[in-house]
Amino acid sequence: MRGAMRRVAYVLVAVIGVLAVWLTVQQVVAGSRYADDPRNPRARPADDRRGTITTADGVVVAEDIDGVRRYPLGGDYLQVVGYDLQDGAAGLESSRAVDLSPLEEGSITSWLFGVFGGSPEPPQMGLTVVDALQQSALDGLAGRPGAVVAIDPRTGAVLAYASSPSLDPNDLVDGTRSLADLGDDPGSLDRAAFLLLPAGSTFKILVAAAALEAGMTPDTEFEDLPEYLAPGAGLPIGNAGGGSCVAGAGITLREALVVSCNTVFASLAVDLGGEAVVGVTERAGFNTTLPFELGAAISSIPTAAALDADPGALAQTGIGERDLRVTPLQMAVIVAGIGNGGVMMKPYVVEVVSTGDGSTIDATGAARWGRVVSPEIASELASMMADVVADGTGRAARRDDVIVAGKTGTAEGGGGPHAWFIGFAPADDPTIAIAVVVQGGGSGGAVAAPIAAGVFEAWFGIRNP
Amino acid sequence: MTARTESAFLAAAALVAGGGTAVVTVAAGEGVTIDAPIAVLAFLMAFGGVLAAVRVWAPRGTRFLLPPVALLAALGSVEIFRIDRDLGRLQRLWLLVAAGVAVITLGLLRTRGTVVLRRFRYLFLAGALILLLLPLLPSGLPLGGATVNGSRLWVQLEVGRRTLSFQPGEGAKVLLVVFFASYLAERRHALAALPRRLGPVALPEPRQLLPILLAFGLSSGVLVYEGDLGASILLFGVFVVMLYAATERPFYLAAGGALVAGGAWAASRAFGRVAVRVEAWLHPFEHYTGSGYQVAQGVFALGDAGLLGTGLGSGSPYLIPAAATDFVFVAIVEETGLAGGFAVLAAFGFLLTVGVGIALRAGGAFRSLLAMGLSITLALQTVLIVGGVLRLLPLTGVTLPFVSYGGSSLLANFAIVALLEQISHEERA
Amino acid sequence: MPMIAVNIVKILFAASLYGFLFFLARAMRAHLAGPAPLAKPFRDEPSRHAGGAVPPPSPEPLRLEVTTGEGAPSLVPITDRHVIGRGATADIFIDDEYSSARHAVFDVAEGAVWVEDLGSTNGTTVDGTRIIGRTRVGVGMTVEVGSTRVTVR
Repeated sequence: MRGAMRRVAYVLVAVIGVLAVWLTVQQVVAGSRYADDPRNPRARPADDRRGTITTADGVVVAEDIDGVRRYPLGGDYLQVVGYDLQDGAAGLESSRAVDLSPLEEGSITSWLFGVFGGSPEPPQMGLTVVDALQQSALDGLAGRPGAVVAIDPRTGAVLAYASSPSLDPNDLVDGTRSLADLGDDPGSLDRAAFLLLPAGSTFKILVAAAALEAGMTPDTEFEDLPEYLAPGAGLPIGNAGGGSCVAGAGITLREALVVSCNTVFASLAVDLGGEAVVGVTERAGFNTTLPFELGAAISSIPTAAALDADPGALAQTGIGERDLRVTPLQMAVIVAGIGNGGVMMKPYVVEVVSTGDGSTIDATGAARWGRVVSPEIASELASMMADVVADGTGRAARRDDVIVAGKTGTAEGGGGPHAWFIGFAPADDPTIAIAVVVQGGGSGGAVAAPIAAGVFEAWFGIRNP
Repeated sequence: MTARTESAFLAAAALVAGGGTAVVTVAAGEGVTIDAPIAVLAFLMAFGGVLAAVRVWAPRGTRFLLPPVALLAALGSVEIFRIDRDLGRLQRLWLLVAAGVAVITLGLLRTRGTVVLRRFRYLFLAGALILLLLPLLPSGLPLGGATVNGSRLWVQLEVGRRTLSFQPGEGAKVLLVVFFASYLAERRHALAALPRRLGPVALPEPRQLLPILLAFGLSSGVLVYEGDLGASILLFGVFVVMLYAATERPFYLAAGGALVAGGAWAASRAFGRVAVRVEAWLHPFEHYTGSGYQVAQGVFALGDAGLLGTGLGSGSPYLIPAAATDFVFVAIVEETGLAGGFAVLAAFGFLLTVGVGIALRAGGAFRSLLAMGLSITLALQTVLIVGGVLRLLPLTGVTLPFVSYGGSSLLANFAIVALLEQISHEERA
Repeated sequence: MPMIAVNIVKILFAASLYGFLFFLARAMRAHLAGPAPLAKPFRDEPSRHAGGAVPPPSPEPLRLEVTTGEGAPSLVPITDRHVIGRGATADIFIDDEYSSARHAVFDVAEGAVWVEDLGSTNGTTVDGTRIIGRTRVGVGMTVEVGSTRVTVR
């Protein structure tokens, strides 16, 4: 009798143990699976506070005011910060939603807070963007469609990321506008990373790089032709304003870049061949996805074979036209790479995520993306680009205190030529690189270069007061 | 353990009841009210009374039984008070009455011991049957049955203008265990004999199967006529386990299991109520607006608990239907977390161990089987209701001993405590 | 209540529950570990008196051969008073449902074993004769306690 009683007791105690285990399992399952069930009367609204986002120079661009997300600078940072709405989010507000939220679900920290009470402040986010530069860029664009991207060539930190026109995300927060009717709004396009345009003459830098790689020097002389007709092409390519580029019989590579001589670069592209031109362009990140947190369109160039088969197209590609398409961000990354001794860094916009009390949760470090050209060729390109600004098409970006290197471009567009300027400064050891484009704005030297000059002014005004 | 230590445990349980009550009222923004000291007082009186009776009339009784009971009662009374203030105050009254029942039980048995109960076993059987039949009386009489939530378990007694409701099944449970123990103590050798063989299986004489079939019939009757799945399973389960303990023949466990399986299958076919319970058990969220509502609310409450719960008075256990009775365990878990749930289960494990210990040491088969049967009753009830609210088993409406709200249940369970103390006392006499 | 207070109260409440259970379990353990199954053989303890007094040589110890229904018989040296029974307080514990909790007591005197029934339900016999009062049990004789046989060796 006692044996059976003992066995019964053991079984019952074991069953109570099973109940304890089952209680734990059910608690965890119920807690995770049914916590957000709409029928659950205990479901509490999630902590939807988001941390403040601040520029590198301390300007608040996104913050919670009375439980409502506000963007103090309106549309100035729409393309970077984005928005956080009930029915959708964009930009960093979307990609960094977790970083900006008070706690990671299920972390030990959140458990500790659960036990000891209190609720932590949401983390703060610091951008790499400098608002002084951003405002200068936006002022320069003055509402015209276009974009300005400035990058620190040494790190890839994005210093300015302006897209025009923009729209005010506060209107979306307030409900005066809805996401649904933004589809056709010109302000909803991020022109910095998603606007694909022909590069125009700014592309000549890459053709020049291909020429240097083929063994030429800045002083290699070319015939200064008024027109160039590629083999098999229907129409000849002329120079801006007609005629030859410089006075005299010949023209050096350096001179051709300074005055942006179309005939020289068109013929050079054909002479170098598709392989050489496409090779350097793809190394510059064309036909590849740019590793960028906010996403970017893929800049593209046709294949070498296709270009070799059509010398007319290759000639036009040599001056950045025809099927070649590039984003302003891509051009900024490339020109920053040339300024950085040939090495392109991955662009990034978030400098640091820190807790309410200032300790760092996450920081972005500089990371290499790839090499465009060798250090020697990068240095030769920089020297030629310095001449472009010193006494060529880019004079509008010239500064007294710092040598600026740059290249203008005026690309064909349906609504008038797109004005381009890309460059960096100081030319020998740049701290800033920039790409400016104004869609249908006119001449690069007249329209885009002054915008870049304004951004440089803001940058060196801070650095060399 | 000395008498002083035992008193200290009971005082500590009284403080848990008072402290918990105070936390509840403070959390409700009422500050510390008179309820907290009253709770302490009620516990001191109830358990002090039982302790004194045990020390006087059953001085060699175990000192390990009252402390876990007091802890469970304290947790239960705090949570009931938190769910419904009036129920909580009533429960305190019931606690005092239940303690009185324990004292009376000890007093009645003090001279002749539990063995005297054997003499009245058929009286107990008859009493149990009458108690089980009482709810079937037509309603509206001075003493009449009542149907609550589809189960006819209640009896209402008109006393002047007031109506006293009670569940006679709780009392029947104790009387039946006494009868079973007495019957099995006498017949166990005959029942243990398995003279017939069917292949490798040894079988008893067919007529020895009569008792198990009668018990099954009785349980089925409870289910069919009163709609009480919990009491039905409990009665039969306790009988089968006692039968096994008395005979050491696993055959009876198998036979009981087969009968339960067959009965369950038939019941789920024949009774819509059982089928609905099973469906609500398996898929509570698909029947959210209907039969699954209660179980689903229990799941939501569990999900809110975490390690330490929401805090006493800071959860929403009142959202669960029958939170103070069937779902009191979930309510405790919601507000005191896994920690509180484990503590309740540990206290029951302790209670079971002490009860079985008394059974193992008791002198004579009757006392041993009685102690075992009473312990099994408490343990099975715990497993049925805790398993039910945790969705391990279909939900059967039995109470959680000492914890759930309910006067009848508290009275019956305190009578069990008195009996166990008395058996424990006799063992050392 | 502020969040932190709620949490402190939560921890205190859980701590009080577990404190209660902990002390209860400890008391239970102490209780179970309490009385030793056999009385200590005080006579074998070395003398602590100065002068290196040699204790008197103990005579050949008497032993009880305890045979229950199952298993091999066990030998229990008998040195003092030993209560036999199936209660927790018995010195010689036997798992025998026909015996009482404290059934009978054995003791050693005058070089022989004596047994006395402690008012058990089923009584005690020596070589088949039910005993009344304290009875001498010679070497080789058998005492029946319930269904257990105890032979003096």
